Amino acid sequence: MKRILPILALLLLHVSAWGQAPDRRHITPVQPSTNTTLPPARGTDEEVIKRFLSGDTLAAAEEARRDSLRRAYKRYPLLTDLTVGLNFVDLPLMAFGQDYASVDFHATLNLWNRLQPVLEMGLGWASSTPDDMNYTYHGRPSPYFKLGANYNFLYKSEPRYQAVLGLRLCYSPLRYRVTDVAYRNGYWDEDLTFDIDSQSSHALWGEAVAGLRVDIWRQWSLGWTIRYHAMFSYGSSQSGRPWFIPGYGPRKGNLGFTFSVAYTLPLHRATAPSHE
Amino acid sequence: MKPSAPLLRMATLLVPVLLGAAACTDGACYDNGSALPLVRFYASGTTTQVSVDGLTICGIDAPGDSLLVDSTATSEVYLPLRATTNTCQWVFIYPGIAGDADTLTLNYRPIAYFAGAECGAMYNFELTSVSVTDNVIDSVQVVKPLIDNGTDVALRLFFPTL
Repeated sequence: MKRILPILALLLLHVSAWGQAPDRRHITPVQPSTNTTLPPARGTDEEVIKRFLSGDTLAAAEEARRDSLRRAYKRYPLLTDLTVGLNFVDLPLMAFGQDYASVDFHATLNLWNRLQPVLEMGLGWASSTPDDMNYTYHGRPSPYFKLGANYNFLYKSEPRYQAVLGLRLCYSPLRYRVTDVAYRNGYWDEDLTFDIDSQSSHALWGEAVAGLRVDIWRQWSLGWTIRYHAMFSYGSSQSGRPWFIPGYGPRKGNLGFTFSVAYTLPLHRATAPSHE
Repeated sequence: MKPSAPLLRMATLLVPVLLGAAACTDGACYDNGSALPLVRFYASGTTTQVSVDGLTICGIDAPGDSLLVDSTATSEVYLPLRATTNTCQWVFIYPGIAGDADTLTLNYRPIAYFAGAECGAMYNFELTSVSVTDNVIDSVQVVKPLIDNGTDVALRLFFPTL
């Protein structure tokens, strides 16, 4: 019996302690070396720090998450840069026998290094006397205009590397004439030469654009685009239809190509913010 | 994301060369090289195409009295028009009907026309009036008054069926 009494006493104590468990306080021991306020990560937004210090920990944690995302995925300023360039690819091609050329200046405003409104203005002309044909086509120097936008798929990268897709709406008022037409009617034995005097026309078309641009030296860059053309309308008359359309190329073609040299003007001090 | 700068530079410089090498056009003209009215023969009052046996066709005032069709079974014919005048006449001579021939007269206006890089420049003809004698031919119908280098039927000639 003397042996059992201490065991019963211990059991009673244990049951008593279990009954009081819900009211027991848990205390996490703190070692003196860790009982310090950790400084926020470098680059943490000041607003986040203030929220932590104010005690609103849930809002502060959410803000901290957003802040870290902002720092991981950089966002460029609204006005990132402005690029002006010259598309001149047809000039060397004319030296190799191409009968037409379109040369244009273009200006591209880079918004957030992502969306890029583009304006292109240029001049196109043609002079063609095909070997096996009976005419000379003169496309008089005529203007063309293209308005549209690009989307830069390398928006997380520095603006000097760009891979873009874009759309353009294009218009050209143009003039042409056809001279030295040799006409022969074998049955009636007629041989004539005639001209088709100056004709006015116009063309409205759209372009889907894909291109690359990389820097080559300081603010200078080279870039190309390949373009799919879709003709919406063009002017024809009793005397014919234009063969060459400035900015478009031969009317029956669907593909275009540009190669340009460009200069970029940064519009913001932190155009290419670095990771902290 | 940091792009591969050498790769981008290489693509920027090489793609123009490759595209320039690949650029080409077929340069073919899929229409006629001249504007010629296509005349097709039909049975009178129907849309049934007929063939006239042993038909001869020649142009009035043609150099050397050359024949366009020489005693051949014919169901359609292209009639070349003169660009230096506003009128062309064609004589249709039938075998075994001595002295009976028909004359088709076309009055028109020549229009200088640039058809395109592949087909070149030519004259189109705007028909102003058409007439035909009725020795054998019943009637003529203008289907397309503007004669271009297309291959559509411009005139229908109706013949009586035997």
